[in-house]
Amino acid sequence: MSETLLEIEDLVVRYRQGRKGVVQAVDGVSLSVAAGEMVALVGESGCGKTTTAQAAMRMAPIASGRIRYRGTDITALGSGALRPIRRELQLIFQDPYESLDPRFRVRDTVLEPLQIHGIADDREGRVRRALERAGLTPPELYLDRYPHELSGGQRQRVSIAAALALEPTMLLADEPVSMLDVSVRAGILGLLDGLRADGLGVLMITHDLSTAAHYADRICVMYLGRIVEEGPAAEVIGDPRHPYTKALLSVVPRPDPDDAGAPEILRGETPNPADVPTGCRFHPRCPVAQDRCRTDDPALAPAGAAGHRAACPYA
Amino acid sequence: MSALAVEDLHVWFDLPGGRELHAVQGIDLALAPGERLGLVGESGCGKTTAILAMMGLLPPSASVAGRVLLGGEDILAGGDRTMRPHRWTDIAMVFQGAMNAFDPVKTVGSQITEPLERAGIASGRAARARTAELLELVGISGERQDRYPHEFSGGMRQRAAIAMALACEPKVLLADEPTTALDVMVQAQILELLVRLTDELGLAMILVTHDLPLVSQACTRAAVMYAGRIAETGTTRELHHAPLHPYTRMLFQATPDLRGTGAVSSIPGAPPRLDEPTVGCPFSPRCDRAFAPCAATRPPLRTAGTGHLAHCHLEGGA
Repeated sequence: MSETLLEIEDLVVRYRQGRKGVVQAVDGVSLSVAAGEMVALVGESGCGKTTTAQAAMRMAPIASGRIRYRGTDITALGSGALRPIRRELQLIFQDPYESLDPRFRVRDTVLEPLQIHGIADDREGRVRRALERAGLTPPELYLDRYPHELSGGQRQRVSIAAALALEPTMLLADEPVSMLDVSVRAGILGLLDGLRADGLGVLMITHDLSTAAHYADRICVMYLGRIVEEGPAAEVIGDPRHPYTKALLSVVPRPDPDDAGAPEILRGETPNPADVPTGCRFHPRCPVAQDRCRTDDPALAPAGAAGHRAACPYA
Repeated sequence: MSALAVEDLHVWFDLPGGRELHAVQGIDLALAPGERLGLVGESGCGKTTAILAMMGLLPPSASVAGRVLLGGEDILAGGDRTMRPHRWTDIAMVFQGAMNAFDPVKTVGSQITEPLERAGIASGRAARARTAELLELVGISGERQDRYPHEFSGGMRQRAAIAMALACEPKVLLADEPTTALDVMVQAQILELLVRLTDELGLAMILVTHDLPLVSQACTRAAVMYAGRIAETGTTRELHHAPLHPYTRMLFQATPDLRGTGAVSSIPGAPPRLDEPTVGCPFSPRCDRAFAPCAATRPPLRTAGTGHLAHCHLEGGA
């Protein structure tokens, strides 16, 4: 059994909106990521997937719940005590065109986290190893280049190298390929997959179910601040139990025109997280909703194969 | 007759220092009424430039050559003089990011009514009624025309942008990445709408996108662009099951499939610069099946059945 790295337990994150409004962005989310495991957090915009990841990094206001990293409770840790944890848990941003400072050479971008964390020994070696691990070989070819001299895929590799410079145990990747051209996405995802195989834990946030299906070990599907279904990737994709997951999967465009299937298009859009429906929060859009769904708020319960759970009494 | 035919379309942009960028290098396309054609390729391959040329909306730094035939008439021949009478009335476009281009201080309805009045199609009460009708056509209640853009969700603004493009009942719609930046469920709603509109109105549509699965789902035919040229064109079935050009096959291989088990692999390298002339096949440095002639000579046109064409040195498919 691999070591559990990140454990999120019953996380609630609230934001104030306007004078009296409160938005419950994350409402009781639990998940864990082990070493050598890639977990995909999928869902539409506003479902709380990014907020969940930010809370894991202690970058969002945690109203209740626990965040543990390698057994240490970091929920209320002060910034000094949090520093070594931040070193282990690194973030990869969506847009390598914005996340890299255009005035920094590749060397400086990868060096910066080492300076911030006060790591003085063998900086040059660390930078080179990080670039090599990120697939930028030989490092000499890239060290003195500026972001504008690099392609989108290379830029994202530089930001991954900067994350790897601190030799983290886990990566949080927020839509790591959505801004990149289709032709280079597989390379970046393959790189993350390789790092996972080397023993890193990876939490990947994505709206792309095909990517999650292909690369993740486990998938958590979020809807309006909750995980409504989770399980081994093959189970969630092959045997979805929650009506929301079923609908989402049915509309994913398939490359083979003969595989179109019957899309089950939900009407309307995700309701506002400031105004969560009563009972099951999915019931107003659910094709199989019954009376009880208006009042009963279902919790995740075992459905299907081992480790597969869904928050629906009809799953 | 084709609703739209494009023949040997070229676009050059003037660059500082007297150089030129040959963005579109002789493309041919034809669409029947009600047909949906996907125009796909990586960023910078010339997809958007090509459709802007068809609309006559390129900046002055661009020069255009070739023919754009609408119902048999070459609207490119006389520049803006021949283009203007057809723009929006016969050929219309949904711009990339159109849903974010509404003026925030004007109601959505007034932004559809205004061009109707300016084009002399309708005015006053009739223009309001037409606006309501257009909104209903795209699945928005006509009563919402007095709402402001911020009161619409992203998906609704995109519907309104499509309604705006349809205001003058065009026969051809050019849609540039109409679902990019939308959530998967809203994307499905917009695609469903575009398919319904082409079916019901007999509208011919070019769907410009970098997303091959989208084209497989929504279009019957597709043209794959690379470095300003069409590498391959055919039905979506032909392109997926029996590609003639390695670029088409490699693009599919780079795309993860929800239920696919095959390896996903990226395409090495990057597209060539278009401000220098290319020798041979522009894809050859990245191609996994390149052989001697590819780097030296321009690939010939190969066909495999009616309408399935590719520019490639390989014989017998990719």
